[in-house]
Amino acid sequence: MPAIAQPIACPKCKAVLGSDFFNQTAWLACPSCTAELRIEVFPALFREDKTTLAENVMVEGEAGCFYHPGKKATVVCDACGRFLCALCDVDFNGRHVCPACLETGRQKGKIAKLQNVRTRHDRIAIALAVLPMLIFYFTFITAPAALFYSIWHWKSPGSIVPNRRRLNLVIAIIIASLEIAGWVAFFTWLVIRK
Amino acid sequence: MPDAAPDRYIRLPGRGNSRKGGAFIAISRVSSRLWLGEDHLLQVESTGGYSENYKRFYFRDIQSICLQKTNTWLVINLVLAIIAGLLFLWTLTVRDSAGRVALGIATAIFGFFLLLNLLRGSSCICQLKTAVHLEELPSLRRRRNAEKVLWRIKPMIEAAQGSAPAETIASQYAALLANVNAMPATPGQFSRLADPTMSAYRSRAHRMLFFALLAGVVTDTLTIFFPCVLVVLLNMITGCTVAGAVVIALVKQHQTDLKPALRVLTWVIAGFVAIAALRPFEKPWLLADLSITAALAGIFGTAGLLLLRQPRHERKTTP
Repeated sequence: MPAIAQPIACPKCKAVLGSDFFNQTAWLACPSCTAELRIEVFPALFREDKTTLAENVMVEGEAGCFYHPGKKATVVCDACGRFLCALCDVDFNGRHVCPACLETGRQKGKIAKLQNVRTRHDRIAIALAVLPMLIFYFTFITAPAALFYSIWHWKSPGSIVPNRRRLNLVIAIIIASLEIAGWVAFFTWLVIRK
Repeated sequence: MPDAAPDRYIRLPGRGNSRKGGAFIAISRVSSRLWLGEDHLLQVESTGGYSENYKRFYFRDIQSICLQKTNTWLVINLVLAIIAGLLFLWTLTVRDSAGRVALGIATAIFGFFLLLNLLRGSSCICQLKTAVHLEELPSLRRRRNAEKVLWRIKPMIEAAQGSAPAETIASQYAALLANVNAMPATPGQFSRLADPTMSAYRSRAHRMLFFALLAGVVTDTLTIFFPCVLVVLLNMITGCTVAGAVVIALVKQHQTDLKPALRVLTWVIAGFVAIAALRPFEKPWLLADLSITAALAGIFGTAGLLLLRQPRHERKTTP
């Protein structure tokens, strides 16, 4: 059953608003709570969801869907080549793909448009290199760890929005290297002093 | 199945924080930013800066964008101005140079934040509606930023969906209202849309709280004029009842459709109860303290009961 569109309501008092509020350049007061509002409404509000139904296989020998053998195949998956019925056909970036290929792509992180979470390895590396300097004894352990982490995640995907991932990793590597050099110098000095 | 081409994003103005986690106290603060993609808006929520969560709002799916002016800007300005002003006056009265410098620095800090808030401009709430969710955009809590973003994305949404003339939108909206059996609100008439995330308020906790406050007026008055062990004991029992009732009321009002004014009043009463319980003034100010407490309890109790009466009247006019 298609979802019924809900009317536009005032964000403050949830009072239902009339169409005279829509797409005005001026701010208008809500008749219920007098909060000043500006509302832009777009045609998607009135768009009806179309439910696609897969047709049954009518003729013996007609190609059936890989996932629903009783349903008539209408397209071929652009990724794996399996026959798909109208129900299994997912329109993705203008390509026809099956749900299994879509899920595989999402799990392997190959489809950026389906990525919902990313770890900022560059920031973790910077934090690992910089924060322990407050209690500098910790850098004995954290500096090599930061260096290793930065190199390990050099090719890991970063944020999907523009950022300074590589620069941050380079900074982390430089700081961690300096800390390691400091410790090496310290131990060398201890040995020489004896 | 790799992507055909990765999206190119342009950063949109505004940055905001939202609370995540507990019902009353935030478990974590999440920083949000909006980015403009080719065919969608991307909301990037960053927790601590080490992890990012993405929400995509495709232009073809956006049904409406609603901006609502808020008083947050004004309230913050007022609070900062009062604090800065008081600190400045205090600085003038202090004769010790070290103290003057310390207070001067504190005044400058509050003055700086006041100036910053003034420059950031008036505040608002921005809600984006699609067929499946209604999302508040925390990065657009300043009117200037919200209008800039709206001005920028409106042509892109119209390019994705096509633009409709005002008459078409009005007729289609009238059909939608008829379909869900709703009437637009008019001045003096109340018509609230059911919020699926909110449950209907059906508790007597607030009524109990306001009656307990009025009972507190009586016991405080008795304590002023007839101070004896029995009256003081009665006053203590009333105080405990008010404290218990305010906690219950706060729990009961959570995620309900209770009137915003009543919700705010309950929080104000919670603050009042906390301060009153401390009894900041002992003799010779105790009488004045009791009088003020009784007066405030009377105001809060009466205001609360009057506000509680209103929903009944409103329910009658709801279609």
